[in-house]
Amino acid sequence: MMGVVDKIKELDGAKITIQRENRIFVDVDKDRVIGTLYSLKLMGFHQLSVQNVVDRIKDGKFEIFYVLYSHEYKINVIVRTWVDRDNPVIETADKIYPSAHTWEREISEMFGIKVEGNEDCGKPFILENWKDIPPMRKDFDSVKYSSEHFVFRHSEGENE
Amino acid sequence: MERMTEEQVKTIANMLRKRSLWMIHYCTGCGAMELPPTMTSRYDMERFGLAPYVTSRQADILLITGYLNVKTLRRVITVYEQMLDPKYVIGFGSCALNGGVYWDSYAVIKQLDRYIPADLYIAGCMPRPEAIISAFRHLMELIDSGKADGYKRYKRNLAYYKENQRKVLG
Amino acid sequence: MNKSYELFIGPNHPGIPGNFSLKIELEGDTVVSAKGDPGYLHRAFEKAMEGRYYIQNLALIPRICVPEPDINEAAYAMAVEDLMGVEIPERAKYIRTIVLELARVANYTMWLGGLAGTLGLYTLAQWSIGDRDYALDLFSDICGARVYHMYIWPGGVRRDLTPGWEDSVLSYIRYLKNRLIDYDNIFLKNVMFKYRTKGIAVVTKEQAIEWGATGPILKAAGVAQDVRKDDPYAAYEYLDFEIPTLTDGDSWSRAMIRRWELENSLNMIEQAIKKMPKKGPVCAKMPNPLKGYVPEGETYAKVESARGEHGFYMVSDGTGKPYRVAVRGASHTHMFTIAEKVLVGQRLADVSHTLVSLDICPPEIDR
Ligand code: SF4
Repeated sequence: MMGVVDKIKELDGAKITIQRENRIFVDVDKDRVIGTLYSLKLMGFHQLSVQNVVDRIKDGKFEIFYVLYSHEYKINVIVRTWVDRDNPVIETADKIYPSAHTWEREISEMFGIKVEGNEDCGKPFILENWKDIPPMRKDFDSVKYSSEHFVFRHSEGENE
Repeated sequence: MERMTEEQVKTIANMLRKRSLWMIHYCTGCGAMELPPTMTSRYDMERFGLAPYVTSRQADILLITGYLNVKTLRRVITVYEQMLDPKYVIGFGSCALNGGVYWDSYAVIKQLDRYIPADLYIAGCMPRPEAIISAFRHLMELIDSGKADGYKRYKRNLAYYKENQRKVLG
Repeated sequence: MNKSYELFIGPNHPGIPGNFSLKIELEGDTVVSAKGDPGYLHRAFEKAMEGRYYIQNLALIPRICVPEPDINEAAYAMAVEDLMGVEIPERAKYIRTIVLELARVANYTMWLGGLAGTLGLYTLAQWSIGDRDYALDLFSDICGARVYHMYIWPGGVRRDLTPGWEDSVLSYIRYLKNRLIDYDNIFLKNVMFKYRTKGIAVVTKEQAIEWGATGPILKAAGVAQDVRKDDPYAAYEYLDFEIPTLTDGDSWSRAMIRRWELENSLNMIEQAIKKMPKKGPVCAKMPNPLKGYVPEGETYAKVESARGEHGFYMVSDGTGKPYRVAVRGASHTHMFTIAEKVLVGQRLADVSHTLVSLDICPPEIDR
């Protein structure tokens, strides 16, 4: 059990935070993330549970996280990396984790992040005919959009 | 034998129509979860002459079971236009009525009846099978008295509906 | 001459599990390629949750997965508790376990009906969905709602059980256990069922691990993985249960695994009712929910749903609203990574049954 944690600690250029005995955060640079994922997969972290993005608008960054899980060690490793908000480009992980393919499609649609090497990114996935900025970004105002595009029903007696 | 007047034909047609309603099998939202119990042994809506049906050409009722997002709305309109007259629309739950819990969502439409005419709404989130059955009974009454005329309204106000649809669908 | 043709299945199609569409390419009646087309149920949950207080989100989250809403509540509550460092009372743990298992029972009975329906046996669908309804009655006894309960919430559960509820649960379990024998006789032991499902939609052990499968797909392929065992939440660590596994990984094995799990769940509820402390608080003391109360941080909370691992990744910035919530539904991986590959080579008649067998739940994909 201890062995794998030590191995994770030795990953190149990674900042390790052990939040709980079975939950480890690994923060890496953007360039290292594919290599880190690959080494983690070799260690036995076979399952990519979720890959998604947090919009850190104050820092001008997108935080991309990969939640990995290992059947053997029963540990969750969460790999995090940051890219610039102005020019968000990441590299695809679908050669390592096949399920990343669809997560990346979702990310690229919802956040407008370009994923290099994933040919399906950029095609419409969940949304259809979307013309505004990518909706999951923090500067997209959902309430404003919906009141501009849809008409609300007002019940009788309500002040308009 | 005397020929029947048009009025009488209509009365008889309506009476027969209300006894055999086929609803199209399209679950647009989470309200569809209460349909299986309504269809199966416990609540058994077949005793009212209602049955699910698969194709839009043969169906009489279109159930909008809950929220409609813009992508589904496009399909729903196609399905609605494929259906043959007379056709009836029931809006399920508060989402079809006014957006419900998704009032601030960028994807979900509010107010179903701006896009297709609804004959009836069921309140609740989600409506219980009892409410669904009572809505069907109510729809039968409306059909009997000739008040369920959504399809006529759609034809009459086609420009209005098309304009609204174009606005959201782009 | 072009031999292959394209076929759209759904979104308006009785064989599709919910509002989802599938674009398949066929040659004769063999599937050459399959592509899922999601988005019909997209309601922007993750966006909406950022705009509401933690307590308001309770009304939203059960709607992420319709057939089994309680797992969302549990995962969400666990994430919030984890950020706040709250330990929930003992009795609340047991109540959560009972509710979650009951939800699993409701899901599996419905699923059995769905599977039988896609294979053309509607009798079982009539039976099992009717039986599921009695479980919904039990839910409506404790929280007033049949489908969306909003019963599990951060700190424990919303209110105590109604008096005598345990007895009605036990009598329901007794009833359902007898019914399961009938289900077996009419459906699972039926030779036609075997012919239709043996060797169909095989996911081998290597494939399941490589593609990141969870839940019954993984168990049917021979890996005993279950969040309830590996990372116990609620009261699962006090209960005695086994994870069923089979080795074939075909549609038949998955049906058997679910049948086993159904019985397991019933046994677990019985155990939990026996072991549950009879008195005590059901909710930890929590601060005022409308004033910012969740400390900064991020966490990943996961539970075992009927389909696999269901998780919430939650980021809090210390205000009263979550900064970001990302939902992991098991169907996301199961549809796009597994079903799209497994469907290739199937006959058209098996497509809808394969989707049900992999238990694809579209609301979980679209969110
Ligand atoms: S009204 Fe409620 S149950 Fe119906 S679709 Fe909306 S959220 Fe779902």
